[in-house]
Amino acid sequence: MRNLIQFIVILFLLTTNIIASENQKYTNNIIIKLSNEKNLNSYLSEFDIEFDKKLGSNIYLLKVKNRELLLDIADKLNQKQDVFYAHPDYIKQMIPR
Amino acid sequence: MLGQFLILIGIFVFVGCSNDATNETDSSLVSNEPYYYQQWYLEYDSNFYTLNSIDSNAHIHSENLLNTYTGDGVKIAVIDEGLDVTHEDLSVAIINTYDIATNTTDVKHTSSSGYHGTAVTGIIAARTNGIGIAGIASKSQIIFLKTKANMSDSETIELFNKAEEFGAEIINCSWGTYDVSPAVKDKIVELSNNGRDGKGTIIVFASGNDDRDMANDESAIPEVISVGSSDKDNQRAWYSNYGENLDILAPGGYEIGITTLDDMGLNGTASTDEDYLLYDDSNSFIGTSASAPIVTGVIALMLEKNPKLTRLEVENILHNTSDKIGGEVYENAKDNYYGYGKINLSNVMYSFNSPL
Repeated sequence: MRNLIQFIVILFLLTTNIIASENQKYTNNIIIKLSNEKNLNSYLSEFDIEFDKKLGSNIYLLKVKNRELLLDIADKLNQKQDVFYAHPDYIKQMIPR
Repeated sequence: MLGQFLILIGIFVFVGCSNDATNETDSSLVSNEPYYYQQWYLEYDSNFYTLNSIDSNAHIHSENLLNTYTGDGVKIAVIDEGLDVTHEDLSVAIINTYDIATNTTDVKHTSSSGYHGTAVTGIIAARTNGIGIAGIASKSQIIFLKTKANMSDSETIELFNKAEEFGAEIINCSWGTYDVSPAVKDKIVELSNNGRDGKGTIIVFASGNDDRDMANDESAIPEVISVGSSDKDNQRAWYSNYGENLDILAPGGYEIGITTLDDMGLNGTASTDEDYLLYDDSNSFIGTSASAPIVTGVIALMLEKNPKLTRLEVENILHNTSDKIGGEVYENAKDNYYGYGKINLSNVMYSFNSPL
């Protein structure tokens, strides 16, 4: 009985995780903010990604060639000293009020 | 005989001209808009207020100010889900449009029952022309930027960039995601601080209608003006979102709606007058989506009076002139459910001078 409850709990947690990750929809791009653009080109070649467009002051949209690596690349970029943040280009629901 | 005839002609011509002039003057007064009497959110109307049991202070105290100030030439971007650019009471206000989905200028609602962007924009900029309603900033210029139901962060940023490119001084956002990403937040903060040649673009967000904390919503960004709703009893509307970054309340209605525009003809959602969403329509316009454009319109009048005002100055004036409604104790002039209180147009406009 105890094992069954544990199994149900684990199954529930797994399902919740799957739903959570499905809710976090994103495009094939990463948005990055750098302290300056000095290292941008070296990051493009290091992670095999492409420059798409400038979105704001030191904020760039970068295209990831292999979508499966997107979260991993964002993670690694976040570890760079001159990167304020790097995150997927999330898709959000615009809720009229 | 001929002399008498000429005098008679002269009198006719004079009277005709006088009538024309009178009509022109009349149609330039907000009170001569056919639906003005039911725009309870602007001004007290004894009959209408009594009939609908509205608190005598539920309005924004527009007094005669909407005839004096019109937001003339002030550029306002409305980021929303669609607009009827042909609306009889609005079409001449529109100077730029852009649809992020199609990369074109066609911003009509995607669905034939769409109305939201038209309703929001009407509150701000409906013309004083003897037709329909009075917009708060009836000579302002509208830049309309059409959203998608689901937008990527980069697309949202793109729309704010478009607003900047078109020269928007104020941006109205009657929407939210409850989950703003760092990059979108950065763009909004950057514009708020550095837009308008360093004076700061004024970005107005509706706080939301879910009676919850704004949490990580766009409206909770300290640099935006976050607007909640008050109701006909001059209290916070029960649905209005709250939080430490709520700035101000404006009428949003509840039992009665905010009279505004609907998409013309069979499009839209109105059930009484197909071109207007009246206060008692079964689909009347209610919520913080309606409150935000009221504040946006007021800010347009402020910038008309003094274009040099910075974003911070605008924010401070709004905070310092609001009515402390609700019987709440406002600690340090502020309350999480009421912000700094309810907007008061009369207090706002008399609190600062035009530039010398």
